[in-house]
Amino acid sequence: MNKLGIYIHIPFCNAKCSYCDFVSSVCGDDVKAAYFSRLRSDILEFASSGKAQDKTVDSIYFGGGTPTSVAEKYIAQIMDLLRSGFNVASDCETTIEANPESLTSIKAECYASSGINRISIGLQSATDSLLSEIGRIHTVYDFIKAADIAQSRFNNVSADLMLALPGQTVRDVEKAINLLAGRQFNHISAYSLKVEEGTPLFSTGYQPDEDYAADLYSLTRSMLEQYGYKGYEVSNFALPGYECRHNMRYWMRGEYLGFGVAAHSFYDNERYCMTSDLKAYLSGEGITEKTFIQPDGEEAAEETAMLALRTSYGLDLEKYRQTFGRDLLKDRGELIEELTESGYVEINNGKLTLTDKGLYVMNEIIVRLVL
Amino acid sequence: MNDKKKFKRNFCIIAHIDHGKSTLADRLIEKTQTVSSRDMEDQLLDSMDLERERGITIKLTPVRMFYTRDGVEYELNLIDTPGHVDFTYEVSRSLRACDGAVLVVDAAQGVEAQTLANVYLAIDNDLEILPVINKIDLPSARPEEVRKEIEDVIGIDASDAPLVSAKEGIGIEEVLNMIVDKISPPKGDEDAPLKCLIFDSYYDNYKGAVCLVRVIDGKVAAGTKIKMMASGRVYDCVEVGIFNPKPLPVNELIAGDVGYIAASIKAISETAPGDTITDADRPCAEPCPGYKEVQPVVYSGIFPVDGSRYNDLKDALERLKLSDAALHFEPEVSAALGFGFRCGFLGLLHMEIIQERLEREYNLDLITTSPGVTYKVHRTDGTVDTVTNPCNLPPTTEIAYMEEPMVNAEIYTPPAYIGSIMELCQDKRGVFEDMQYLDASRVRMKYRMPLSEIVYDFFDRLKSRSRGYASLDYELADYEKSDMVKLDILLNGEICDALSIIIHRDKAQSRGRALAEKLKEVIPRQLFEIPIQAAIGGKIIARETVKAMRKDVLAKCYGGDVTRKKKLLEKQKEGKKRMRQFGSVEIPSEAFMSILKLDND
Repeated sequence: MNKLGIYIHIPFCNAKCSYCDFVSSVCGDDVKAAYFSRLRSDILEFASSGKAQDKTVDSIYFGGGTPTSVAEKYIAQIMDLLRSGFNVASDCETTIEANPESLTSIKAECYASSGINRISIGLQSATDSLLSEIGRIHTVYDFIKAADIAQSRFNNVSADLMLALPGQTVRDVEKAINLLAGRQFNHISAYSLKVEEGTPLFSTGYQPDEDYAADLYSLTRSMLEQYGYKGYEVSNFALPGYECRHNMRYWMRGEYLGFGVAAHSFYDNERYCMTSDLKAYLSGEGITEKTFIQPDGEEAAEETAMLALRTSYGLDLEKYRQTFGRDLLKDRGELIEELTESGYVEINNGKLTLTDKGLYVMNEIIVRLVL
Repeated sequence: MNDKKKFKRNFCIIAHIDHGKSTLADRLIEKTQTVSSRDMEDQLLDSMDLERERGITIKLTPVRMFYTRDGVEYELNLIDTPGHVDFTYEVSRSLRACDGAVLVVDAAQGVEAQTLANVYLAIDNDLEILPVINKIDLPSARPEEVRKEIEDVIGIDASDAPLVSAKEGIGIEEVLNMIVDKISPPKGDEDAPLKCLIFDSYYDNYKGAVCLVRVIDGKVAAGTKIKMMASGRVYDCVEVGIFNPKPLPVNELIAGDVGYIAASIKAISETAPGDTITDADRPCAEPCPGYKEVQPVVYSGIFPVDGSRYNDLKDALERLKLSDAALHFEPEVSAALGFGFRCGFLGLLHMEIIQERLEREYNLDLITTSPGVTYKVHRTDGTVDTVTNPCNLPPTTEIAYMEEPMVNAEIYTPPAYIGSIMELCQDKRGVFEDMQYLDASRVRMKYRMPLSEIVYDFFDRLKSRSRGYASLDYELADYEKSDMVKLDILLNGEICDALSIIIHRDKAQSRGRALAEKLKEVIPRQLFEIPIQAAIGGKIIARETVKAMRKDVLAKCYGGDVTRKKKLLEKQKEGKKRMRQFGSVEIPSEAFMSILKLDND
């Protein structure tokens, strides 16, 4: 049976962070109620179409926004709907993103009983002043309380960190990693800040220094590896057995359905996304762009390489040649040799992977290698 | 017939830029009703957009006007002249076609460098000089002082110079009367063998290259077999005409006339200004004196930013060449910039005009290398090379010595800026020759200076040091022995030919350092570290390093939004099109442009 992932977007927050470019806003209860009503009817409609009858859902992900900022009953209702409308595997990895200030024991209890088995908490930084500067409304202490709640009820807990925040020090990153690894978080994501146009942070003119960002990244990698975490993707680290299935699905070009505003799907060789305008979504607008991707075509080939090279599993060159008729060793042999010599890529057992040094400059490598 | 000649006047207007030459010309045309006021556009003679925008005249257009006084109709031929030093030779050609010159002097600005240069040219050509004081409507006008200045500085009688405001239409009649009274009618014998001076030419899509001529002796009509005396080429004259101001065919042109000759001539280069046209069957004994072939003074490489547009650039240059004989170009291949052209220009303004026309009229994005001049390279074996492209310089060991072109420069400035300008001239290796107070507010400084220093940012720095008040005029003098060296820039250990320059040894070190520093700023970090070196004759004098790139990653996946990632990567790939591949180094075209504009004031 084919595997399928489901993503649910919760576009609400208790406060908007200064660097955030996601579709999310601070809204009242009536908007939330209307949103979930639309969300439920979308899920119901798809489920009753029978299109996913022959697929097993083995990952569900509630992302945002801040899923913990809405009443837990909404989440439970969605879970019920998913489990009655889709073939949800018994070991389905079901994640919810949480913010420290809004994760309560009652919510955690409710999530667990509705079938959620993984929780991902946003720490971002281990320094209170820095947290408040970037618009986070929690302290490190709030995080520790949330971690207590999460870790007492879930066996799979993840946390998010950000690198190269304005004024962030090496000490801050060390503190954060020590805190998370010390508490045996099963999974840690460390994202390098990208200042997106239109965010409050962008208007301050701040741009992370390239070398400093790279230094913090390699510090993060080496510390986490010492603690026993494996960097299985450029920004994601896990203790053995705790790689995020839903995440890997994106990199391996597995199928996923996205529900909610601005949610993306890759299903039946089509990529599409829902409108990113909350108002439009509430007034009935749905899918805005839809592109068919020929399974053995050029676009699929580019996607495959660009996504696989993000992971520690790399790109299987022989399989790639068979599927897409592209022989990278032949066509880009000289470049691969050059990149190998300078320590950017490696080939092990026929798999091309980026080294630690190569991961952080992957765009340039991908552009040269496959585009 | 002879009577008719008595009522003819051939004249030009000379003036400093901005002193109102074109406006005065417009008023004369208006007053004589040569163009109906409906068709009247300001500055009628400046036919190119560029001229209108800059308020300068590049191309000459003669106009025939009729002016009636006391029942007698006079034919006035106005031959316009370009107002810039780059075009001195063209000015001198058009002056030869005239018998008198109206000298326009701004009532507020007084006599300026360019005014002088052109007045002397006119005097050299035996023209009657008629001073006119313009812009008397300005609040800052000081006509009587300027009248005295003309007499003191230029040394001509200005006691009855009309006071004019071309803008307001004041004094125009007086100017016309003065032209009639003071300029002598053309001499010349219409029964003698044909002798025409070509003072300009232009390209017409239907008629081919058309010569603008002043008939000195004889007559010419359609059917005359004409001969260019310098080239010896023979053509059948197809059409002759005058300018009204649009071309108007007539039956014949006779001695004293100013007009055009069309003879299905293919290229403008066959109609060299200064050449003499005669009757192939009945040639005149001597050509008009003073013909010379125009030689470029400033050279630079021009390359398309998008290498695939080489052929478009080639077509554009060929088409410009049709109407601009002074433009020289030949193909050039650069390891860094690919295929392009080495172009020769009359001067910096000419270079700028060509670049601008290529970009504007032909929609091309260009990379232009540093402007250079022609050096004489004396080899150890006794032979002499002329080198315009730094890449063609022989190895140091084969060079005995080099000579560089010198100019005599005159700088006019208010006294307040003397110190700062002297400093600049010294920095530019100028040798002070003379300084003279023209009046309490104007000084003329004379310097002997290398042309290469003038073409490299001198004008901009002069303007910035004098808040725009100083003006510069220069003429080529001769060659002088000079300690020149080749400064190379090496990227990743390889010489980047497009960045090589020939420079005086004393300046090579600091320029080399500045170039290396600037390049470090403008070359983006890449997967590999890039050493940048500046070298003189193989010896490294400066080194910078572009560190290897360390971060180029899209860290986060926005809820499975793969499309966004793809778009970003596509954009990155697209950006590479504007990059020049030099060995393993990618250089953005913009980097070349900013490096070549490096200034150090």
